[in-house]
Amino acid sequence: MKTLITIANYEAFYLDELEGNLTEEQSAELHCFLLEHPELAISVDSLPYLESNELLPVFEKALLYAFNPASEITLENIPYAIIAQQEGVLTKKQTEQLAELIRNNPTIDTTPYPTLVAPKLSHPNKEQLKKQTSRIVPIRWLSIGAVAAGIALIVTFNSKQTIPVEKHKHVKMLANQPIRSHKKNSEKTPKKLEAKQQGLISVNSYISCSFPKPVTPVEQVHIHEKPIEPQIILPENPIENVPTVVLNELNPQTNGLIIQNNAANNDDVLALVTSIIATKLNTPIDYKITKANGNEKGEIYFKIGRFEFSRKVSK
Amino acid sequence: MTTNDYNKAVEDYADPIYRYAVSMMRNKMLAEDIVQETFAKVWVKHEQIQAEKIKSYLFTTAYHCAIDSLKKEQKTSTIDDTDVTDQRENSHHFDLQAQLHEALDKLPSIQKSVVLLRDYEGYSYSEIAAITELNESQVKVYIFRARQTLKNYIRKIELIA
Repeated sequence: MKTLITIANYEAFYLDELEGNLTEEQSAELHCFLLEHPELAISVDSLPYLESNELLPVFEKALLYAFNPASEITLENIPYAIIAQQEGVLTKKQTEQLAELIRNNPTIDTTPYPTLVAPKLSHPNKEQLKKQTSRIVPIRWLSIGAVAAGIALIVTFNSKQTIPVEKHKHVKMLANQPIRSHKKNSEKTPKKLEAKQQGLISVNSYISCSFPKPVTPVEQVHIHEKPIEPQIILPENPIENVPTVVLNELNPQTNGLIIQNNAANNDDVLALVTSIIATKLNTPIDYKITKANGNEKGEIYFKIGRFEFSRKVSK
Repeated sequence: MTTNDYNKAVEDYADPIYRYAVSMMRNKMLAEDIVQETFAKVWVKHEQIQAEKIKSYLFTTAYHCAIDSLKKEQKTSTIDDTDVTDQRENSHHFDLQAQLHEALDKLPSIQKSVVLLRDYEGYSYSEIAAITELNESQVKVYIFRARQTLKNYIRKIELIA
């Protein structure tokens, strides 16, 4: 391929390139030419810096030549060389050339180029641009803590109001149903027997009595949506078949049974309350209740999200 | 970048960006808008921005906001620069600096921007090139042209006076 671009005519091609008048082939050839002639000091990267319709003035061309580290300082580009010196971009060799030119041509204007000084202005609302670093989480955890304390109180008071109840084979209680009141039961007890019972209790609380008493009074209050009265099914001859009821006897087995029943009721209440709270807060809730046993204290433990609450409970 | 880093960036760079924006826009209200917009954009991406590159990121954003705003203003109306002029008239450097800033307004926005970044913030050519998305040669040429224009303007005024 015949080379069109030479040292003699490259400037015309260069200007045409800047104006966008070259074909793709000519443009590629110009780029190759410039890469092959670094002494011309026209960087290929610098080609698109002017708008296509802007002609390159003579002094701009001088500027392009002037501040390549390989360029020489001449009278033509000396104004830009002075700026370059002020900007600190001249090489040592160029600085010496500039100094020599100034010495030889005292008429050259060497006045430093003015630089701008930033005015003393401050942004009037700087604080409004800042963002809050504190988080809203603590408020949420406070509420969770309050809920946890509430649940703990419910559990504490529920467990203190239970009185041992002996299950009787003739008294069928619906499983896990609370006994609201014993008034109706006591009304059904014959008055004479009731009087005897009171008398016996006053004499010796540990004496076994043989009078029929199908239901032991219970003062147990539990929160249920629909309390159900206990069903008492008596045999055909209740006096013969009703077994002995031992009052105030602290039978460990019986106690254990009652505790299990109470625990079952408490678990129901807690499961209901915790599930509601967990749903509302969208936070997992875990709890564990350990009853007091002998010398060891019981413990109520709650974990709501990251918040943990525990309380020792005496017997 | 954390929220604390962001707040520190506001503390450190709100004023320089505001000064840059005032000089670019010649209007304090518009400059405040540019600062607000700049920090809002940075906040949106603050988790992806490295704290040590925040200054460059802020000035790049401010530069683009200022250029966009200037284009809009040129389409709608001329900018009222009285408030900025009044401020400078109270300055002790009124003579030279006021004239220089007056001359600055005669420059094309790109030249104005690069010379402000160079003189106000002392950015290197490569840093200015990164902010303005030009190459270093272009930045150099724009700065040299701007300096030449400013000097010629001052010289003319001195001759008239």
